[in-house]
Amino acid sequence: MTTRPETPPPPETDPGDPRWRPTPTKFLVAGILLIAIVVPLLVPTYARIEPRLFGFPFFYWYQLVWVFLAAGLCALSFLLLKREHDAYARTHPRGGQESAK
Amino acid sequence: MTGINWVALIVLILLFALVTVMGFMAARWRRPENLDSLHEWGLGGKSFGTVITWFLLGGDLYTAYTFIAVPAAMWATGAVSGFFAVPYTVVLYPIIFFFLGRMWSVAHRHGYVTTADIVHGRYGTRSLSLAVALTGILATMPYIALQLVGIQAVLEVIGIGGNSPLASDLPLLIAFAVLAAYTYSSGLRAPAIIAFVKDTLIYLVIAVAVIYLPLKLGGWLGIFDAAQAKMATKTAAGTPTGIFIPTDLTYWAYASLALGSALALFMYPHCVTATLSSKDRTTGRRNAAILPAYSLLLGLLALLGYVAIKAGTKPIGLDGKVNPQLVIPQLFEDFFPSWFTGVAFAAIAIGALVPAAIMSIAAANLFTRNIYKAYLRPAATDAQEAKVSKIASLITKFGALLFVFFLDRQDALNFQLLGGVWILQTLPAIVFGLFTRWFHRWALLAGWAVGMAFGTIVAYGYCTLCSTRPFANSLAVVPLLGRSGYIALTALAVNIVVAVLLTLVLRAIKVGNGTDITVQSDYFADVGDPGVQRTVDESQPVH
Repeated sequence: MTTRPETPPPPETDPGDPRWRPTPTKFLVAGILLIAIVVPLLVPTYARIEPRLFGFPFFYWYQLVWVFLAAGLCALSFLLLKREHDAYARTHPRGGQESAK
Repeated sequence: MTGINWVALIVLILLFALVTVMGFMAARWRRPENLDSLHEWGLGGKSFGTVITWFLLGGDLYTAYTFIAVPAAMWATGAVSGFFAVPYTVVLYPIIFFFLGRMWSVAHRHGYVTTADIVHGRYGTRSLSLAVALTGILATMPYIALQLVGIQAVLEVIGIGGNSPLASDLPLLIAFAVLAAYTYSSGLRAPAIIAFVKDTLIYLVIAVAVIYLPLKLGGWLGIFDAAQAKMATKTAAGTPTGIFIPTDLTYWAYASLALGSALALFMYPHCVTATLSSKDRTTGRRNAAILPAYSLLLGLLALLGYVAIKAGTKPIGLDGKVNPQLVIPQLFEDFFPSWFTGVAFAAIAIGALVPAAIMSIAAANLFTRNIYKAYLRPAATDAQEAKVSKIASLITKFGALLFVFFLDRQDALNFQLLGGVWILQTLPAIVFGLFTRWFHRWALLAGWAVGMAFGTIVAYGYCTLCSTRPFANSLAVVPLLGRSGYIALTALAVNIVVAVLLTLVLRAIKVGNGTDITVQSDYFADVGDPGVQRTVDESQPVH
C-alpha cells in the first residue's frame, strides 16, 4: 500500500534452528526473567526497617542486593540461550556465503 | 556561598575543553569512507561492541539530570519520589532482555534507524509510524532541556548565574554551541567517545563520596536515622515531610513508578539509537547483565541525598531560595577541596552532554526518516538524509535551549514528567509488534490516542499531592484500585484495553491490517546471517 523499494528477500531459514521456535530453554529463560521483574516490585515483602545491615534499613539494602541478583539472572539467561545456540551451531555449521545462492 | 569558586571553575573548564577536543576528533575514529548517511552519522556505523555500548548506554540512560534529581528527591521527600529509581533500574534489564534482540535484528535486516521505522515495516501504515515518531520527538525535547538544568545547577553552586540572565544563560549557550558543533561534525561517535570520560569521572567521584562522607559523618546508621527523623517531621500543612519506608498506601505508587519508568525508558528514541548502534544481536543482552553496575552507582548516589540531610546541607540558590536540585553540588562544595569539587562538577556537566547529544541525534533521525522522508521527500538519498538530520539535530538543541531560557525550570521538569507518560503510550505499537501481528493497526493507533489523552488530562488535573502548576505530579489515584499510582502506567493499561477490544472488533469485521514487509526470521537474524551485513550495504535502498 505504500510505494517503496523492494526489501531484501527472506533469507533461507532452517526451521530446526532454535532461534525461531519455542524451546524449553526459552521458557526457562522467560521464567527466570519474570522472577527478576516481579519479585523486586513486591514492595510489601521488603517495606520494613529490620534487620539492618551496616546501618542500612532492610528496605534499602535489600533493593541494592537485587541489583546484583537481577544482573546475575540476566547473565544466566544469556548463557542459557548462548549454550542452546552454540549446540545447534556445532551440528549445523552455517556460513554467510549462503546468501550468494 | 560567597563569590565564585575559581579553582573548581578552572578544573571544570579544563575538563570541558578536553572532551570538546575529543568530540571533534571522534569524527576520525574508525573512520568510514564518509559520514554522509544516517547509518554512519546517526548510528556510528553500527559498529559498537560490548564495551563501547556499555559506556554509551550508561552515559545515555544515567543522565546528569538523574544524578542531580534523584538525590534531590531523596533529600526533599524520601523513598517514594527518589529511591524507586533503584527497583526501576533493577527490573529494567530483565524487561529489555525480552525485546532488544528482536528490535536489533529486524532493524539490521531492513536498515531501520528508528522505532517508527520498525513500526512502519510491520504495519506499512504511515499514520501509526508518524504517531510514534511525533511522540518520540515531543518526549525528547524537555529531556534535553533538563540536561541543561543539570549544568545550571552546577554553575549556580560555583557562583555563576542567579538573577542575572546574562551570567546564567551565557555559559549554557557556550556549552551548547560547542556540543552542537561536534555533534554536527562527528555524529554518534562523539558521545560514544566522551562517555568514556564522563563515566570514569562519575565512578571516581561517587566512589570517593560514598566512602569518605559517611566516615566523616559518623556512619550510615546516623545518616538513616537523620533521614527518618526528617521524613517524619510535620510540614506546615500537617502532613509528614516525606516517606522513609513506603506503607500500604504507597506500595503501588512505589512499584508502579518503578515498573512504568522501566517500561518507558527503551521507548525513548535516544535509548533505541544507542541500542541499534551495536554491532551484533547479543551486545544488547550482554549489556543487560553488566549495565546494572550503573544501577548500583545510582542507588548509592540516591543515598547521598540522605547524607546531605545528616550533613545539614543548605541548598540555597543565588536568588536566596531553597532549591533541592542544588543539594548534591552543595554537598560536594561543603566537604571536598575545590579541585575535587571541580572534578565532580565536571562529571555532572559532561554527563549532561552525552545524553543531550544522543537525544538530539535520535530526535533528528526520527524527523528525517519518519517525517521528512515519509512525507516531504520520499526520494531522499542517504546523503540528503544525513544532511537533514544534522540540521534537525541543531534545531532540536536550539529548541531545548529556548525551553530553558524562557520557561521556568519547574516547567521543564513537569514537561519531562509528561513526556514519560506520553512515550510509554508507544509501547504497544513498538513492542507488541515485535512479537505478534495479532494487534490491529487502527486499534494500536486508537489505543495510543486514548492513552495520550487520558494521561495528559489526569496529569494536568486530578493529581494527589498536587502542587500549583499543571503536570507537576506523576502520581494520581488509579480508578478501581483507589490507591495512587504512576499515571503513565494507568494510561498504558487503558491504552492496551482499547487496543485489544478494537482489535477484536476490527478483526471480526475484517478490516485490512496493513502490509507487513518483515518475516518471522527477521526478528532473530544476527550478524553473518543472510541479509545482515556488518555494515549496511549502502547501495541498497533502506526504506
